[in-house]
Amino acid sequence: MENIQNFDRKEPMAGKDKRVSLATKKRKKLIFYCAMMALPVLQFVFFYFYVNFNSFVLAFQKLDLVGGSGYEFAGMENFTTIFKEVDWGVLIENSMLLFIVMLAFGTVGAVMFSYYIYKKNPGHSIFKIILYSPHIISTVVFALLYNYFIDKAIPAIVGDPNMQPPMNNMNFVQTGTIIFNVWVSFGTQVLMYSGAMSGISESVIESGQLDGITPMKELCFIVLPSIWSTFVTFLIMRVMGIFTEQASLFSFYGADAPAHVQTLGYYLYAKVQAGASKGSVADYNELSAMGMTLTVIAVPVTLAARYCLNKFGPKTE
Amino acid sequence: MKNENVKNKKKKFRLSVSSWILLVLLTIYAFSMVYLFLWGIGTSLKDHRNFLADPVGILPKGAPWEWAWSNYATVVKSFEVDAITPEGLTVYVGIDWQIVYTLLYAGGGAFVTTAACCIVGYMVSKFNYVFSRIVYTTVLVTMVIPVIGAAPSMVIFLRDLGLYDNYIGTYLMKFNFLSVYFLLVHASYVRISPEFSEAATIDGASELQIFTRIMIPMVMPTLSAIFLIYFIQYWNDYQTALLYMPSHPTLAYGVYYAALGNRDNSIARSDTFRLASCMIMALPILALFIALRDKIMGNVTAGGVKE
Repeated sequence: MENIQNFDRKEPMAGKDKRVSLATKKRKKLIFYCAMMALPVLQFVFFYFYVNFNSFVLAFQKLDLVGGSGYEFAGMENFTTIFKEVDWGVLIENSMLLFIVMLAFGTVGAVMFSYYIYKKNPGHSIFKIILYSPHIISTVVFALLYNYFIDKAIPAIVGDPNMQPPMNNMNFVQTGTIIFNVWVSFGTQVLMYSGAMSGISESVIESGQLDGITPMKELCFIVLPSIWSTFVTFLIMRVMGIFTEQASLFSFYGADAPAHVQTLGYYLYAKVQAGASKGSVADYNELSAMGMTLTVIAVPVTLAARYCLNKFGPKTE
Repeated sequence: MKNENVKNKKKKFRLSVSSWILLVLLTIYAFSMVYLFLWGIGTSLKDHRNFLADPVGILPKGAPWEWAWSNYATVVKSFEVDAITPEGLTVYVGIDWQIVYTLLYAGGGAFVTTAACCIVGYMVSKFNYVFSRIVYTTVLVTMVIPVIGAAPSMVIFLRDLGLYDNYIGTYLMKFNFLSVYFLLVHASYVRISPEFSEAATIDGASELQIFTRIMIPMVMPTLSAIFLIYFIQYWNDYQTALLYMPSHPTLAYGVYYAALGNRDNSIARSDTFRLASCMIMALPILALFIALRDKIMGNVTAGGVKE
């Protein structure tokens, strides 16, 4: 502080004093930097790096429940077990189905709705708030409302009070949950897309309009290329979602979702939660092996998707 | 002049076919959303017999003072979660403690997450060290590369450190800067001219004083928006409490518990009570959102522009 105050007085300092003062200032700056960064960096090291690294280690270990000697190296045993016991076909099929439907309706719908809001068409403000509302109210609340309405009100509307509640009808469960997921999915996407659209130069839009461009052509050939980086971000998140998306099944069914509708993300979370609620970590090695397997697949898929979208996507120039 | 205005207005509301289609779709969507929520509020004010007789209608029978307001009183009185501690003990947690746990989790969690973004964002943007560039790149890389299935490892790690099922562990877990909001805070700091800190340095301010008294107030609108977004997110999050804090059930956990309907108490057995418990959880956060919607949505939108 004393050295800094020397600067304040603007008195000429001898060269050596000035060098000492600058060095002290730099040192103090570095100490401050280290002190402030210490906790966040430690948090990252332990809660991100160590936890993920340990997850890989756990995948090759087994908990010795009989001998009580703790974790032992198990080679590929956990991987063999998960490939035998997990119904990969159903999990992948459901995850892919959800991905495709969300892409076709959720993403396309979000872009179209954003365009409507961006053009400030009638009701744009209120639509924006309503589209965002599923992010304000908990999924568990919406899931319960949706479930009750479908199960209790729909039979009354169709005039068949003895009808099997649709959300308990195994043939409808998947359709019902997918519709729900699309229904609550627009919020953040619409905000981000409409925000990105508002950054498009007016002159670009006007020149297109002078050429007599239709709204759909404007969306496809001017607006979408202009927001391509935002669009790619959400598409990549969608691709990652293949491996993590729970399809709100936990909000509907807790840990007991019907096996034929489960997704990869749901399966993993439900198993981990079941272990935690029982106070048992016996299955965690196999679940870590499953997580590692999915990571090994997800990383190249995500990076490839990103590369392709950036390489072959529209260019604004 | 007047004619010109009318002409402009007419032009403004002349919609293309595609815009009409979108208007219809959005109207149907908005109607479904609003109707369902109003239906939930209305049903939570029906008695059970009234609900069975008219499951579709929004308004309960009779005048407002005849509605089943007692549903809410019953929920407040009996809305319990029988949570199991890591030691295997069952604890009954009433709505009062669920509210306390919700505020501790949502308020404290949002504060520490925002603080992490605020601190690291400032350090990385204003201190031109190699390490700052490494941190920035790390955030970008972790956002692109998905690591799946780390939850088992996290549970084991927290248990080993004695941080499982307590708030210190949860706060440490949430003191995390690996998010898009770090980039938003970073961008806010970058926009601040270095002249402010230079002037403060000349006036004898320490680095800590520059950070706390000059920089933080200047990015406060962004920080408060991020805090609100996280507060809402954590308020609605039941899965973290379920997995990492099983004996500290939040309201969202309580609603999830009631929603499953697999227990014996009166709340889980009654449809109208369940919906009343949903509304107790949803209405305060909806009111908060309506009051601060411009702040929240404005900043989320700003995040979109930055992409």
